[in-house]
Amino acid sequence: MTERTIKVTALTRVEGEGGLYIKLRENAVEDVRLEIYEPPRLFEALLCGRQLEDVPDITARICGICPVAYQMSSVHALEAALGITISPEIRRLRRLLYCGEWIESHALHVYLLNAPDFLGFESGLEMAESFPEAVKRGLRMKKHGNQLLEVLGGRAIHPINVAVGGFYRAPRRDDLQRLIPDFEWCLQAAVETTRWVAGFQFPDFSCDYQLVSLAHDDEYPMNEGRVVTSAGESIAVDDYEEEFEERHVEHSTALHSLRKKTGDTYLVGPLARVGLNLDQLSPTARRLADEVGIAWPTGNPFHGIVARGIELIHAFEEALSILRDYQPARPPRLDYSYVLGAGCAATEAPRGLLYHRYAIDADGRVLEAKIVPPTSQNQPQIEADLREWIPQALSDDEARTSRQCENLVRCYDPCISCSTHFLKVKIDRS
Amino acid sequence: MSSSRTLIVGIGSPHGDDQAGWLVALGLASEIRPRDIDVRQASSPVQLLDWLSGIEQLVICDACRGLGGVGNVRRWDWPARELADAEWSGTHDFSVPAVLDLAESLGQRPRHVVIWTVEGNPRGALAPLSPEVADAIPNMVQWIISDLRATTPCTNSHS
Repeated sequence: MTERTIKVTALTRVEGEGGLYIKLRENAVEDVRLEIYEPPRLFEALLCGRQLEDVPDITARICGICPVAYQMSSVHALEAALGITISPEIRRLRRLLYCGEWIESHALHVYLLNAPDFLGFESGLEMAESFPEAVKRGLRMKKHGNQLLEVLGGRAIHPINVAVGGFYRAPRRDDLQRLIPDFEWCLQAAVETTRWVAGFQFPDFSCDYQLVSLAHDDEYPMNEGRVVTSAGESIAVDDYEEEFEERHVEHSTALHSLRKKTGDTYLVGPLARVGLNLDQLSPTARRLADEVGIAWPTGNPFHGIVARGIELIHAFEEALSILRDYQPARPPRLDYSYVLGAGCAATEAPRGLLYHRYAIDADGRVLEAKIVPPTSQNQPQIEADLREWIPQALSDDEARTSRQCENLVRCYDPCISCSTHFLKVKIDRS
Repeated sequence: MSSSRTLIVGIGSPHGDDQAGWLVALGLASEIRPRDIDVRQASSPVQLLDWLSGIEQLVICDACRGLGGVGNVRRWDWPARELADAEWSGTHDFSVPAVLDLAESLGQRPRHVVIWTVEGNPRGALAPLSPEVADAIPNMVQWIISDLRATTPCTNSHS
C-alpha cells in the first residue's frame, strides 16, 4: 500500500495566502484540501454599530483588487434596506465604475497571472522577457481601467466617491470623455487578447458544473439581476440564503459555500457569467465568443482565460457606450431617511457573485452584516475539480505535479484576501 | 528639488503598520508641491507600472519585514539585492523587487530608483500603527525631503 503526500506550501500568483494539500493512496486521490490559513479579518463584526454611510468605504478595504465590487454590493443592499431607488443616470455611472474594475482585474489576471501557465513560464516577469509587446498591451489596458476608476471613484485604489444613494460627486463630462480615444484602442486590444488566448493549448479536461451567476433581461449582469443556475433555476436575490449556505471546514479559515438543500458545489465567475448570459454580451464580445471555437457554456476551467478576454471586450464596449452619451447625474446622490430595516444585494465582482446583507436601526447604524465573497463560493468547487484533475496531472515528478495543480487553481483567479484570504501545495504520498 | 520628473509612491493598505507607505506619501504631499514631483498612493506595487511613463526618478515608500527592528527606516538605491530577502506583502506575488524587475524587462524602469522601507509588525484589519512605526513616519518624511534636495546620495541607513 503506497501513500503519497503532495504539498504546495506557497501557491503563487494568487491573491492572499494559502496552501494546497493532496493525499494519494495507490495513486488514487484520498484527500484534497485548499488550506486557507490567513487569519479571518472579521469585517462583518467590524461593521456592526457603524453608521451605514461608512459601510461602502470600509468594505472597499476588504480587497485592493476589487474594492468596487464590495462598494457596489454594499450600497445596493443598504439602498434596499432604506427603500431607495436610484436614478437611471446613477445606475449607468455605477455600471461604468464596475467596467473599470473588471478591466483592471481581468487584464492583470490574463497577462501576468494566467497566461504564463499556458506558455510554460514560471512567472509574468519571465514571460515579459519573451513577450514584451503582449505584456505591454495587457498593462496598458489595465492602466486605462484604473484611470476610469480614478475619474469615477476619486482614486484608483479604494475609491471614495461611492455613496449610499449615488455618488458624492458626479464626474465632469470632459473628464470622462477624455478617456474615449484610449478606450477605443483598448477595445481592439481586448479583441486581440481574446484571439491570442483562444489560441493557447487547453488540457482536455471538463467538469460537470453547476454554473451560478446573476442574469438580467436587458443587460450583461453586473449590478443587479436574479440568481440563475445552469440547472435552469431563477432565484430572487432576497432568497439567496434559502438556496446557498456557508459552512465551516476544519482546514480553512474561509467559509465554504454550498447549495443549501443538496450540499452541491457550484461555480461562479467569468466562465459562469459568459455561459449563462451569452446573449447579453456586447456585439463585439458576442462575435468573439462565437469565433473562438468554444461551445458555451463550457465545463473546462482552463477556458476561464478566454471568458475573461470576452468580458474585457464587453467591459470596454459598454464603457465606451456610456462614456459617449454621458451626462452628469443631477442630483448625484439621492436623499434618504433612516428606517429600521434589512436589505440584501448581489453584484458580479470580477471573480463572481458577491452577496451582501445588512440590517440597520432607525438611527442608521448597522445591526448585522453578512458578506459572501466569490472565492468562498468557488473553494469547494476548486477542491472538487482538483480531485478530477489530479489523476490526469499526476506524475512521478513532484514539482511537475504541483505545478499542474497550481495551474488549475489559478484558472479561478482565487482572491484569498477576500475569502479571508494565498496558496502553498503539499502532496502526501507517505 | 530634482529638476527631473520625479514620482513618489507610498505603498500600503489601511491595516496596521502596512499603512506606513500611505502615511509617508500623505506627509510628503503636504510638504512638497513642485510641478515636477507627483506623489501617489498604491495598494499594490503592480500599480507602479501604470505611472512610469516619462519618470526619471522614482521614490518608493513601503513597510517591510525582515530588515531590522520595528520602526527601523532604511534607504536603498535600486538595484539592491538584499531587498529581495525581505518579506513583502504585494498581492499576487508582485513585490516591489518583482515589479521593478518587470519594468526593467519592459524597458520602463526609471533611471534612478530609491526605496525607503520601515520595518513593521503584522497587525489585524484596520488596526492602528504600532507606536514605533508611528514615531518613525515624521522622520521618514523629513529624510526623504532632504534626500530629494541633496545632489549627492544619502547614507544608506537611518535607525
